Amino acid sequence: MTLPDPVALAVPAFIVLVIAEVVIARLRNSASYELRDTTASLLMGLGNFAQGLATAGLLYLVTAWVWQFRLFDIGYTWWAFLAIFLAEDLCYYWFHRLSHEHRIWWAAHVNHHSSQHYNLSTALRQTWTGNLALTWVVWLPLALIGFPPVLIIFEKGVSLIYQFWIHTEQVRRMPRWFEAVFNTPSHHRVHHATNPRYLDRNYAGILIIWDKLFGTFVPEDDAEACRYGIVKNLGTFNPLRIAFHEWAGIVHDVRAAGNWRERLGYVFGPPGWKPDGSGATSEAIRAAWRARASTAGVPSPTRIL
Amino acid sequence: MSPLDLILPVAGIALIILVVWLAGGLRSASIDDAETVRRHLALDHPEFEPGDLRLAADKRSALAIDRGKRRIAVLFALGDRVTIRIVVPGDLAGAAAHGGDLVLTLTDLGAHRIVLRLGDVVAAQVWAAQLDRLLIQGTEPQGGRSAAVLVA
Repeated sequence: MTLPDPVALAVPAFIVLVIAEVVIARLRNSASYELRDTTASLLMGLGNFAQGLATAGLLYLVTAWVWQFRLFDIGYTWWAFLAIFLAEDLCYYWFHRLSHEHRIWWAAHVNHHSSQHYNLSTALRQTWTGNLALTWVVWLPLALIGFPPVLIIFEKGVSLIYQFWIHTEQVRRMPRWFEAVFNTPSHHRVHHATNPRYLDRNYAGILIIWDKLFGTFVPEDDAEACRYGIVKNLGTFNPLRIAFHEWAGIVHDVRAAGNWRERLGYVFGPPGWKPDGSGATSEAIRAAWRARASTAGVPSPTRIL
Repeated sequence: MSPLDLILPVAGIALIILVVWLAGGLRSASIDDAETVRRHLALDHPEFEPGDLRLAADKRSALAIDRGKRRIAVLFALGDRVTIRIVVPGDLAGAAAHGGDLVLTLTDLGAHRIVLRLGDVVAAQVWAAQLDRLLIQGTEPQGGRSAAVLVA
């Protein structure tokens, strides 16, 4: 059976919707788009498209190879589409969570979070190195269960398209029932925020239920606006630096490491990890935030030189 | 795959960039005063206590020394956003004065070279020496007191 490539079909809609959001943001006097930031995001998207073309065949072959050993013959029945919808979304949740919790995959994913803006162009700021980092292994169990490789690839495309529209500040809230079940702009704004209370939360792809199930859900608080970006925001719009800066950071840290424990920590530990425990990991940032919340600080004077 | 599959994304990118530019998307953030610095630090790094502080003449960057720890905050405009880097020993590969500019070279490829246009040759030299002692050689007492004396 052949299925359409949903992403290729959606490209014209992506273009039209981004332009519509630019116009709406302008009419609302919202500083949602900045030229160099948008250009960087779009070039990252183009690079992702190119690397996808280069690696798609190999990924299909690996998935098809695993499928030989499938436990069940699922085929393309109606319930297979329903089952792959749930199963692929669960895989996405874990891929996404692991990409935030381990630096080797964070290095591939960080570029998606590197914009300090949050708009539809941010959705296109996609990885250049995810396939090289083997992040696709998370989906291989689907082939082993028996989902046809074509169906898995189709559903991954559906998920990517769904996640495009949630990268916006122009939609505040969806109806309550929708917010309860699906990933929405509100939930995903939280995911892109660096506020300690929001950091590394809401990993969902399409269904927010996984975050609620696994304890990583945080609702958006209207009293605390999201501040977008990463803990160490970039000082560049250069796509090459955006794509590879964290990989370079890993190499730098591993070369400076004194022993194998440190080397492994720098590669597989959480982003920000340091051997002496002083690193600004998400948990450390959140713990410091909680500690500050329980004690009132007294500001001290500053001299201007 | 048809040629349209390649042409469409490229044409779409060009069109979006044009529309963003027409919508006034080319903007720059400004760091006008110490209050702006304090406000940004309080939001993103509330544990940072700015001691000595220097604003760039072009209002596109600023520098602050933590009064409690051996580290500095470098604030700089990136497009229409103010970006903050907390720089600790090991992060700074070099600090040099080039005329009235203070050029910081970080070990991080994500913000490798930051130029602060101080517009003051002496201040640039003093800050370069101060940061070298504080973050590279580790011989400067924390808090930036000697910088205050030297610049004053």
